[in-house]
Amino acid sequence: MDIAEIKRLEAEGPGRPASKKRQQQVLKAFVYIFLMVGSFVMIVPFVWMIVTSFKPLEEINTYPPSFFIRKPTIAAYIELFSIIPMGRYFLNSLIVTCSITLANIFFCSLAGYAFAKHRFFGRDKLFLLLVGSMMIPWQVNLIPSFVIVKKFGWLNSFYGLIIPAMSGAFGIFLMRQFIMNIPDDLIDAAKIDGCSEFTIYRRVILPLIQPALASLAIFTFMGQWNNFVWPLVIVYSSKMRTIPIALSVLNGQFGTNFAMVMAGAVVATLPVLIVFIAFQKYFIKGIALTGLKA
Amino acid sequence: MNSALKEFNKQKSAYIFIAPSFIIFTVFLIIPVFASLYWSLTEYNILQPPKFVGFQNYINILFHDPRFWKAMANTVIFVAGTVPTSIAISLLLAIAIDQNIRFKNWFKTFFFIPSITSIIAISVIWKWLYASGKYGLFNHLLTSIGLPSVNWLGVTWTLPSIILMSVWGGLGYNMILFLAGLQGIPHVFYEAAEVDGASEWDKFRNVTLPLLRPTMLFVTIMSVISAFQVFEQVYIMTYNSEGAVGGTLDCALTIVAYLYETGFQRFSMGYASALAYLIFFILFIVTIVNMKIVEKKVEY
Amino acid sequence: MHGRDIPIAIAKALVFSLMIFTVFCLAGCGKVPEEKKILMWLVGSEKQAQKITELGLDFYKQTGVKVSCEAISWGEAHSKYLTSVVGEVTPDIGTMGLTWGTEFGNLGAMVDLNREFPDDLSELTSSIFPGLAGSIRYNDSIFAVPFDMSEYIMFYRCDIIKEPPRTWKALTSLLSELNSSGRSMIIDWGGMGWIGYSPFLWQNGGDYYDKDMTSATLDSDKALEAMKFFTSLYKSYEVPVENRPVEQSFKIGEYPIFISGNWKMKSLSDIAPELKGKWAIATLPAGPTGKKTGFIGGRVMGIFSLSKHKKEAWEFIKYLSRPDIQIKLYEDTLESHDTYLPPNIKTWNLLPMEDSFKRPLLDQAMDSKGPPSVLGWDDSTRFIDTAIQLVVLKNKDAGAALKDADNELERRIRR
Repeated sequence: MDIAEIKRLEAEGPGRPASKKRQQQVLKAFVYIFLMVGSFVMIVPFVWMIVTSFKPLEEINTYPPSFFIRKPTIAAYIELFSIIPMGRYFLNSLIVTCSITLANIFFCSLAGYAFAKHRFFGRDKLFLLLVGSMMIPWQVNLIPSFVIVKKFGWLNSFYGLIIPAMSGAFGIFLMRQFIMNIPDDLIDAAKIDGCSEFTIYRRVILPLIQPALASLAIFTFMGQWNNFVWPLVIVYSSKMRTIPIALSVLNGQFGTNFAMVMAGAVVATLPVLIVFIAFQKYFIKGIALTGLKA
Repeated sequence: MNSALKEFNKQKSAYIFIAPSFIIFTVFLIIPVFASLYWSLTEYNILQPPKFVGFQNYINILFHDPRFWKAMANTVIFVAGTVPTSIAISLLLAIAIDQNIRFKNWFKTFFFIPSITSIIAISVIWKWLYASGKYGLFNHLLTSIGLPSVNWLGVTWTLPSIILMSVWGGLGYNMILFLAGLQGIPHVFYEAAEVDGASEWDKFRNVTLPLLRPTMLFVTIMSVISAFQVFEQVYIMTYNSEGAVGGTLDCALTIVAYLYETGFQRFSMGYASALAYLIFFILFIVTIVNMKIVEKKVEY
Repeated sequence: MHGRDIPIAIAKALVFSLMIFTVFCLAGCGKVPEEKKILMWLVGSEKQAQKITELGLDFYKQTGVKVSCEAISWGEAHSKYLTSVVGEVTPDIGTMGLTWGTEFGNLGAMVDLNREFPDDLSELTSSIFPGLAGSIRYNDSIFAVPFDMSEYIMFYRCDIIKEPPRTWKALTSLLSELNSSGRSMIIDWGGMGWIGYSPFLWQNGGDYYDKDMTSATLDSDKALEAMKFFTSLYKSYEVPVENRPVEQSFKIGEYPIFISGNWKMKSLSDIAPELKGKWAIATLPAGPTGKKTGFIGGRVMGIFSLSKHKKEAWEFIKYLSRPDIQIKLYEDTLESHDTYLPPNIKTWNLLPMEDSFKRPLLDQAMDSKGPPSVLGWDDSTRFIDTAIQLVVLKNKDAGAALKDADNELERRIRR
């Protein structure tokens, strides 16, 4: 009970609080109902996805469509991993996503440190260029990037999938903002002790920006795992597909075997879900950060 | 130039630190931006060297290409359908969750899961939900309450269907942004309003909304830009065995889908580059207009 | 102090990058093969691609050439091939739609088999269905030979429909009868598009281009009559405009008759096994000219110009065209969800298929045409689709729609 409440109660007298309290209770109930209905709406498509993935072929297109499976089977999953090499696509996605995430953490924090704590010629202009570039829509550099990757011979390869994404303006921006908050004294102290720049980066900066690193890592991981357009454009042999591409291929190839398409969707969604639930805190903080900083 | 060299030497480490990022930045962003500009003035199919044609591509797009305008119309409808709806609902959600209730984290998670799921997976699931005739779940729900079934992915309904699905998928993300904004409003303001005898609705209108303007601005701009660039959902929902994108009679062809088809199915790279620059230009204008509109009311 | 540590920083960065690159290489970014190896892309299912790789093992035993086969889907195939041509990393053999061989061959991307292997070629093509032969030849060049064939055929519930319709008139009276009980027919392959329209066009004596392939003839009266009839099926006889799950509707009798490709024979037995004995196939109803011409499609296979093993690729193509191997491919589809019908008339005589199915299929195949072998055809089909869709969905006048389509076709003829 804070001062405002006490003052209000005193002003209102004994009769009013009861109705106000009831009003608040009704409001709360309304809120709960709203949120529960909303949650239900959010979850139902996922439940349908999981249910369909366990249905045998004859039950997929039944009328009426039902959430109950008469003869549940994992046939779709078995086919998914044996015929479609879903395992291979999973591995591809994992390699690509992890490499890009690691590279981003390293390169962006390095560059962020430079922009935050070093004074060098062209620093502010370059940073402005970086921030401005975030406004350029990806469609503008899609085609030339394709041609450049082709000229390097990187089409349809891990090089082409990973290298163009190894660093980004957004990551550098995020890192710089965070590093700017580190007191200069710490850095000066390290310099006096005779540490090289790289050692300062490794021993002083990195430990202090761990939350930001975690957020960047998760952002990058999510974004790259689900990335669709770039692999769509540069991958053309089935060996090099990533999971989103594999899903779209399933969508095309198995028009009637929806169990397999849904099973593919389950496999595509599960890792991201696990990472999210494990690192929820960092993720939500990270998004909030971008909103506030902008 | 000696002093410049000395300066460089002193700050060698800084330059080395930014080098990897800037190499990638230059090769895959700066150079492409200019290359795109050049190619937009040519006819280019990669197999043969580009042929300079001046502004012909732009003229063709703006004056001789009904499909471009159809794509623009569809895109505008998509933006108008998703952005206000998503903002309104996610704001309500954020306010609801911000109340003094239990299970906050559960609710946050439920609403956020679609946002982290691959839009491809979501499209594939919804395509199945939207199945036509009486075999799709949605149609079954409709017919069981006496309404006629809908051809969700037919000519008239494909775009609205994609809009519905996109709103569903994007709610969680906007909700989190609004939550952060709400939590940034100091409680003092609410208390002051209550002392003045304000009702819930008054509090919302006079405290919450105005102080949310910066967040609102950010969310609106981000949502509009991202809605304009919609592609993945259109690709999956309108995919057919002839490889065409955009659906029957281009009913759901959006501007980026059109760019994809032009560049990567027909390999008319020059035309596609011109399209890309037009998109850039439009987004730029839209962002500025957006900022002017919302900022006008920020002064409080 | 700074000077000494910068090189270390660089060294560390290099080591780090080296680590990443090693990961890629270990994950297999292309080792140069020492033995002869050919890569084939199959537009079809993964299972069928695996089957071909298996046959490749047999081929390896006979010739010492390794074969691997990868599957791609129809929708992405065309742009995939173009991307690979542009990226200069093509497979050795590619299977594709009937007219794509000519299209890619004209870009210089595929080998003209008629020039490289003329004798083998004439033997190979001597016994293929005439409809296929027409579609793969372009002037004197043949860039791809048939891998299999797919044909249009009519499916019907013989317990619900006693006599399949044999003429257009019979079809419409059957549909009227079905309509009165809320039922109709599905046009499953090529519905609302040029593939669905083509049989009616040809059955009425019309065509897309004239005999010399120098001008488009979609504005003829014959084409107009055919278009009016085709679109009337949707507008007046309740043929559904959107996709339906054919097998399900067939099973419950809501759509007891449908027109589709031969592969539905397999999916019907998979999804609706309890219907065994209750359905049959028949040739398409004949038009006013008495012709019952259907559409023949399928996959052709050709060799890409960038291939380093052209001769070996040709040997494998010949291998896949042997009657005994074609029978093997057919038999394999009886277990998987795949489609394969031999493109060779000779092989059909040996095909282990029930007579009640074989006869209509053979009969229809002999009177079927494929897509026209005109450069610029693939670019033009979109406009025919649009014309059909405008007439059915937006009530555009059929004559006007055809005239527009005809103009677009005319503009795109390249010789």
